[in-house]
Amino acid sequence: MTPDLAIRTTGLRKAYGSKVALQELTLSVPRGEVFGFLGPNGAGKTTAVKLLTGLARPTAGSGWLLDRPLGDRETRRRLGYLPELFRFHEWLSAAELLELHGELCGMSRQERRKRIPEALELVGLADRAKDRVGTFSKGMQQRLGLAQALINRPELVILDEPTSALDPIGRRDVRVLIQRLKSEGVTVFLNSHLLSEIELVCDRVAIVDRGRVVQEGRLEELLTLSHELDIRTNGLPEAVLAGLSRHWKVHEHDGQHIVLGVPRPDDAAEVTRFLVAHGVDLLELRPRRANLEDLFLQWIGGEDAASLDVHPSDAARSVA
Amino acid sequence: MPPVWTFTRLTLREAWRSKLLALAFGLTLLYIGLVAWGVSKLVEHSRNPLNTLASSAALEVLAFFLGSFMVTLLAVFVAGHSTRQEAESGLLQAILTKPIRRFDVVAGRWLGSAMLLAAYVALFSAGVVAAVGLQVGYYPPSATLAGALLLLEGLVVLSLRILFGSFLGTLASGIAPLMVYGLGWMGGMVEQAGSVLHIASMATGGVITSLVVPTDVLWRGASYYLLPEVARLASEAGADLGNGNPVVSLTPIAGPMVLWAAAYVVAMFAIGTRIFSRRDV
Repeated sequence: MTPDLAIRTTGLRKAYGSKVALQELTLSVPRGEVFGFLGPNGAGKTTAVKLLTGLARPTAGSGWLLDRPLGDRETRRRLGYLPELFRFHEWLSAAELLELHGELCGMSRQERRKRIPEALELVGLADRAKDRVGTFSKGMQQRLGLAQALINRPELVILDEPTSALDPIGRRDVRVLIQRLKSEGVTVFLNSHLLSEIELVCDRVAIVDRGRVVQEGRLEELLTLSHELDIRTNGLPEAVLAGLSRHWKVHEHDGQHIVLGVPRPDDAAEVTRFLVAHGVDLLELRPRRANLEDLFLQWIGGEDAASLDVHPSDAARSVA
Repeated sequence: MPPVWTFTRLTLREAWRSKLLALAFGLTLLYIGLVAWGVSKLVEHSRNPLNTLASSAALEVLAFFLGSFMVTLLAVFVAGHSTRQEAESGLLQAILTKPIRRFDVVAGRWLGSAMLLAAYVALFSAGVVAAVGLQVGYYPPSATLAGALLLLEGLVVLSLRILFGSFLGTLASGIAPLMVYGLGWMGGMVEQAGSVLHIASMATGGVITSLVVPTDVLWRGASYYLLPEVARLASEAGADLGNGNPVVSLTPIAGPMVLWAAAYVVAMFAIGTRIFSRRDV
């Protein structure tokens, strides 16, 4: 295995009886990066995370975490995990809960004594150390879950929907925390269906749908895979519109305004020539950079996904 | 600290925090108080000291008999939620991704629960023996052996609970061992009836039940060490005193049966751990 990868999986598959939860997961996560794992509900994200953390065993395929095969016990010393469905012993205080998790990570008493206040501080719960977990709101419990995931100063942190219970301030705090982890060289695997969250913090993303990765790569590269031109004219005759749609994809149009999907940004020149040659007065032509949401909808959007000129599996391989 | 011990402590702390310990302690004291009060009434209305002694001894055996039932109930409930339920509710997800074995979780819970059961049996036995002994001077031949067999009975139920808890929810995994316990009890009665009526197949059926569910046979074994020496001697001399008695036994439990029960505890625990270890959480 390449030493600079924190996670690598090949053909990971999980079926529960006849129900396939994860078709085929082939993935590479470089060390030190924030990796976004994105997909609609029921795409197989949580199943994938459970396979990575060893909570479930794959039906087929294999994978490595921090250079060791999936399920290896010693690797978990260097792993932090916040489950999507988090629940903690409600009768323990926040500090006691971290004490328990630190102890299970094999941390010494001195290490724990030093680390627990730090971890509580990191997630903004320093003043609630002695309060019982049962008295915490769902959001505070999620923060505590983050502290739990970071208690052992892990090299790899897997966060499954870490902001699902948080308010906007909490979400921002988590973003800042993830950026801080990245600056410390920690690899973060972020499982989320929140596009903005992923777009703001991730270096690399994989988009999963119906149990398989439909796109994977560096975020900025993926964002340049799709281009649109926003064009305003003084009027578009039907014949010109028909001509445009023969060469490019018309995303939207209303008489004077049209949005064209083009394979390359350079196509702007060709579109301009076409319009001028057909006697259309061009008032404005603006390249529009796609955001993650546009891409997501394109890739996940059923038939639309098939019409993309990027072959999903090829793209995944070329950027892996 | 080994992770098993971490989970043992967690089980003990949970029992303490959830007030289970305080409650069990208080109610056991009340129970012992009731036995003591009953014996004091027997003494008060005594016409014949020998009669008082015999009635007090009988009351003591009955107190232990009900105690054995309470040990069973405690064994079912002291282990808390089933491991399957805890895993599915998310409670164990962050825990099972720590550098531990799933065995540690189950073994720690078993050990903590076993310690609580042992404490209960010790307190209960000492209390009841003292309540009778201090008033009428009757001390059973070996309360220690009786207590040890009661504890073993509790451990059989506890291990069944751990086994069922590895694949059933909390409620079902609590009910199942109780029903199995009922089977064992009924099997014991069938065996007694068979031996009284000299129907060999009934007695054999009872023995087989005791092998499948060795709870009743353990209680009978315990009862033997609680009965007055004279009853045992009479039985050995051929008097047909207690044969067919559905509650007590006048013959000691066979050594191999005790070993079988101990092996049973280990086996049920091992199967439960194995199921849980292979389970997708």
